[in-house]
Amino acid sequence: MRARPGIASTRLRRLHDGFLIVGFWLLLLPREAHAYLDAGSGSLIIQAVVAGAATAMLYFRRYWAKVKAVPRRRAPGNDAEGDDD
Amino acid sequence: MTTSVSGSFRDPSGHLFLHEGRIHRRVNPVYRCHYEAMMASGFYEAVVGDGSLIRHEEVEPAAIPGHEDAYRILRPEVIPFVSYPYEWSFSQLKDAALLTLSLQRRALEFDLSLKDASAYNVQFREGRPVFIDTLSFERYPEGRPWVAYRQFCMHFLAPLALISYRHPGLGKLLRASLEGIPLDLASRVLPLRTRLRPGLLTHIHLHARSQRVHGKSAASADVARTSRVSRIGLQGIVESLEMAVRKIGWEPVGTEWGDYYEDTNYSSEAEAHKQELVSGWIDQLCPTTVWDLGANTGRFGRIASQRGIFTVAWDADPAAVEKCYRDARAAGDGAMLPLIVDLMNPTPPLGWAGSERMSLSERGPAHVALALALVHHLAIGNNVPLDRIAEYLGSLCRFLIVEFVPKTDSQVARLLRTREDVFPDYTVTGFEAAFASRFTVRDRLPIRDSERLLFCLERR
Repeated sequence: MRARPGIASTRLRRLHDGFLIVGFWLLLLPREAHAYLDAGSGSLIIQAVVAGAATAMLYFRRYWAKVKAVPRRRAPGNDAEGDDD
Repeated sequence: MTTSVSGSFRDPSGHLFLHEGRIHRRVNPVYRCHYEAMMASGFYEAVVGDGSLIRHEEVEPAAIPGHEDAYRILRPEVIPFVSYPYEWSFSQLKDAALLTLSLQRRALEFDLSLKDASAYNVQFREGRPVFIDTLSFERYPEGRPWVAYRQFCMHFLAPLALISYRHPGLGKLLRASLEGIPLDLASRVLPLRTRLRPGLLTHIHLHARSQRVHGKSAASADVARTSRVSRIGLQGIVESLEMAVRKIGWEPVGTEWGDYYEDTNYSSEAEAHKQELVSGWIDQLCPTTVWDLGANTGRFGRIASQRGIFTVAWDADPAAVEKCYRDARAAGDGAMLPLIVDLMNPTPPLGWAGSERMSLSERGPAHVALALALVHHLAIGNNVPLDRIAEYLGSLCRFLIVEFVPKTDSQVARLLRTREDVFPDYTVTGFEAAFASRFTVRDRLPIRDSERLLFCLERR
């Protein structure tokens, strides 16, 4: 007759199963791209912090560039350029 | 027969080696998916086409002993001369920075990203910076921050800001710290007003603070590992860096040699005759390479570069080298490469095992060297005996065009004005005797309307 597994061994089996499941999902997840340099925690975190502001500035500059381009397109002699749009 | 290149060992994607005298790049199987993505996406053709990235051809790995197991072997185009960021002037470093950012911006458009942003990945070819590390591009996983962001700020942004806001001599810090200038150091040295510049505030000051706060904490490392930046956010960061770099400026004024040619003591006739003699000898020698030592703004080196002869113009003064680079760039003179080197303390071998980056002499010898109005600065300004000057110059070149400026010349008199004359051998006879041990005289001519002499020498 086999001995009943104790609480400790049950926990170990659960832990083992848990590792297997996590490992399975890690295999399914896209692998982290190869990064042979240490990017640095502080350098990664600051990017996440400033990305929002950088995005806003990017949109603003693109929008502003379009606004500035309008009078040029409407200027006499630039009709052909405007017709292409 | 293959030999590994000592400066190429960090990246597991591959490394450089020499085979039959040509540089080759081994690509390891681990880089395969990235290489295929780069070549298939059209990115490689786009950036090679406009001269931003060096072109390569593929070589059959089986044909190269010891590399049969490589995924690919690449043979890149030849760079005429390897130079290092600590030898570049302000605008050279700035142009290299803008090239790196432009490549990262365009890489993102092709679902690629730079995995490193080292200034050592840039060289100068035909007067323009070119990116030489083909294996620096990898597939871009959506949402990942730029892993090379810190390296870019340390290699480019920090030294540019220090030169611009503090002193041009601070570019030399790159020689002391090959990994780039630590951001906490830059943040402490830069003046308070740089905190009013959004780019410098973000990428240097706040960046340094973030490193200080999060650098050693395990919890921060967990946060950093899972931090995400959207693609548009990343594009915003790259554009913000580009704006920060573009806004950093520096004008080459107020240093020792910046206005040297405006402060010369010889007549325009002497100047014209000196140009004529140097031109004549260069035409006779038909050199493959010329090093203009103590070149100032490169006026005489340009005699060679304008003939299409590859010329490196060395000078210790950052302002003179900056002027030389700007002039050559404006004139489209692609044969001229100005670099900052002090002959009293020339670039030593540096880096891992003292062999990662080459010394000045390892990159020679030049076919012809010019040493015009130089010897008196070494001999009298710095107390170097004439025979030692001859010995060192002889190790740098095959032919030497050298000028002797006598003590009666006002430039030498100025050097002796505030010191005792302890140079009894500094005479034409002493000069000729010292150089005779190392060189034979091909020609010896006086410069008209001056007391100076020009020699054309050949190494024994």
